[in-house]
Amino acid sequence: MKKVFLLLITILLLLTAGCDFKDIDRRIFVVAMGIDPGEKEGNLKVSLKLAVPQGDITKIDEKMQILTEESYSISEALRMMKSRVEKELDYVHCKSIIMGEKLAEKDIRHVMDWAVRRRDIQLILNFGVGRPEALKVLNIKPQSEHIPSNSLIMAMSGEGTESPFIASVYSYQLMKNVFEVGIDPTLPIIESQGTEQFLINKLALLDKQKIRLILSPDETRLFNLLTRRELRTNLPAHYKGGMYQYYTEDTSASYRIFTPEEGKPYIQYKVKLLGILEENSSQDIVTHQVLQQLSKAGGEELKEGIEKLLVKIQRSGLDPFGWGLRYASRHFNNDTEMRDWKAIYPKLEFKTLVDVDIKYSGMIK
Amino acid sequence: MSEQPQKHAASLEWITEKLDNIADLEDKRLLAPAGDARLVFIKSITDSVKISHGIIAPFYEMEDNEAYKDYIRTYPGSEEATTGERALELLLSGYAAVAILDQLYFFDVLHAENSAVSETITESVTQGPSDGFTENLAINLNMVRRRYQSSQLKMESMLIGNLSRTKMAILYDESRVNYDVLAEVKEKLQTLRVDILQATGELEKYLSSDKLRIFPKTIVTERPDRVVFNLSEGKVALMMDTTGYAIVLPSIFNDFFTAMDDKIQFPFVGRFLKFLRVIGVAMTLWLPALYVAFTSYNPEIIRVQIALLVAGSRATVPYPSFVEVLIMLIMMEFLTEASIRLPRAIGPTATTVGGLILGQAATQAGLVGNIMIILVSAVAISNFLIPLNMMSFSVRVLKYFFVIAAAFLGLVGVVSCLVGLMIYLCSQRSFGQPYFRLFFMDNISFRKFKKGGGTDG
Repeated sequence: MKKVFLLLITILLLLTAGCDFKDIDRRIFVVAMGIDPGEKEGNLKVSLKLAVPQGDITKIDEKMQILTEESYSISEALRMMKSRVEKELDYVHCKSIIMGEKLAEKDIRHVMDWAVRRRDIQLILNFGVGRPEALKVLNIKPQSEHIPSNSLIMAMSGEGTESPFIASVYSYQLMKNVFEVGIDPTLPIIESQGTEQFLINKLALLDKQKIRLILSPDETRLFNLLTRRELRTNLPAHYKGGMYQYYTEDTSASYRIFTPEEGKPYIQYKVKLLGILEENSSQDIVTHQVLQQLSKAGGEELKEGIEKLLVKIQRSGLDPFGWGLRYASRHFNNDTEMRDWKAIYPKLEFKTLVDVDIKYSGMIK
Repeated sequence: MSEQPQKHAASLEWITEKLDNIADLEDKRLLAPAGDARLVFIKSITDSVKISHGIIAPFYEMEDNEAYKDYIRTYPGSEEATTGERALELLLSGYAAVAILDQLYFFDVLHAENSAVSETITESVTQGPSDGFTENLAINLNMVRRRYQSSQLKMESMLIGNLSRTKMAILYDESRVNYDVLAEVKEKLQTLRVDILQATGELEKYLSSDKLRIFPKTIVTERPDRVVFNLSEGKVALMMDTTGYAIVLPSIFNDFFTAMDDKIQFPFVGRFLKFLRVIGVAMTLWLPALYVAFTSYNPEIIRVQIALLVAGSRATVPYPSFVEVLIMLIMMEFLTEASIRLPRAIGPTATTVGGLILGQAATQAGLVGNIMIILVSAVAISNFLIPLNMMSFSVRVLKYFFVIAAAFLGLVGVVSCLVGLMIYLCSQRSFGQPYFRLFFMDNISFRKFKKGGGTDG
């Protein structure tokens, strides 16, 4: 028995040499990263947002530190930054990487490849485009924030705000969209407004490499409506000169690609919404008939908006919805299908079936 | 009467010679018109009332010696000794020797000092019977028999200990017991060579052959209802005189997490309580180890908010996390141990000093983190969710293995320690029965008997 114990202890001692035992208070957590193009051509400016932990929770006051370093490579910049802090930089809690708009307009693939390749950076971090530059976004420190970069994490992950204008993208999704045939990546745009506020309500559509089109907030909302389920938003309906707004309780959208023998190929979107009337600018009494009319009017408006967005995206030649991928998955002529798709794509027409059902809000008269 | 081959032994002279230096030996000559008799007994273990009513009074009331002899001989519990050694044994175990007409009779006048049936101390339940075993075997057997009125319930008795001569009772239900287990227990008891046997836990130690065992293989209980319940499940119960605990065997791992309330509660409540206990064990085993693993190796598993909180609370702690954990855990063990030994009057003071001041001061002094205090108290409390003390002590010790594994290997260490523990548990046998048998399997195999019943004799 003694021998077994001795053996066990030796094994354990041997293992200690190679392990990475480092206490949590000897690490400093990088919570967000920003990458901008450097001053010198070809260089990158890497900024890290470090969370400085607080000892006393009752007197919590956010403390953060931002490090910036310019180098020809990301890894090199990070190693250089290591000698500027007393603790070990730890990237396991890095939840967002923000690329400067200027960088995203040139090429995102280098940064994306680095983020996916690096072993201690999680694949569930959010990518975003910083406007006007990534460092400015990192510098934002909202009043409501207690933990550094928490607001960004909350906003992007959907844990906190459920804004219909945010279309967040995980790093594994970005990689998939870049490398997959028949789908194009998207990135949310984070704008800094001073040092205390940010605004995420636009979506950048990219080809496999760089930003090609930026959607307005309204278009971003419709984009989210078409790609997500149960989007919580409000949508307008105009009826008899009055303006109404309804809150969507339940939404769902699906599409099918039709390529009939004769006639033009088309994509048919089916959108279903269940709404509650939220706002009424007219003084009319809302009756069941009015609600039905409203549903119809709202549906028409939505249909118009969606079709406009789809046509706009088609004109740009991008495919953020992954129609090409869907087409390829439903066809088995593997050699020619993508070539076929390229021919079909510009000719596509869009049909949208919108089914809006607005209910009474339940207010007691 | 029959002419016994009276060796040198059975004479009173020989006995008194053997018991030479015993101060409380009474040797009285009874004289009456009808005849005379001699009475020898040891005062300290005999009941003087029984002697005067049962032996002395009839002697003076009886007409002649012959009738008195018959009276003594036929009295329930009286015995004739055949050999001198046996006579000595009887005298030492509380019999009075009566010599009439050159014949020796032994009359049971044992006086046992014991506490009355009292409430259970270590295994309390909210509802249900609260009487616990006492130090008297006869009373204990009475408590069991009253609850298990079946002719199938057999009792064999035995004497253990060369000096203590402790009376043992082996109880089992004839129709349900596993005879292999019974034979093994009997064999072990018969081959047992000890001088003094005073506690049931001691016996448990002798019964088990494995010297390095971690988990108890037999239940030591003070609850008659638990004994009865286990008897009905085909188990063997060992009861000892002079101690208020019984041993139930064979016992599997799951038995130690069953409280007697579970039967009383509604099914869902009972399951919930059992589930709580399992969680409690998991918490007390893993929390300290996971703390070490998360703070020193894998901070990516916890959320960033908590990671920063832990990092902040540890900012002033000078030692690595496992030292911090060990310090606090050992401090907590001191408290637990001390509160068992402390006199009742000082008990609450110790808890206050230990729990509040120590915990609060340790964080404020920056020796341990805030989170650590919460963790240690959770560990301490959840440890006592285990209804049987023996198991809760085992788990208390086991958590240190997990902490050490976590200190060396992080989360991998915790997992490999858990795997090792599972392997160990599966390899264990309690008197030939697999120790880590799953409890729902248990229900299936005993389905033919109604649980807790026992009147099919």
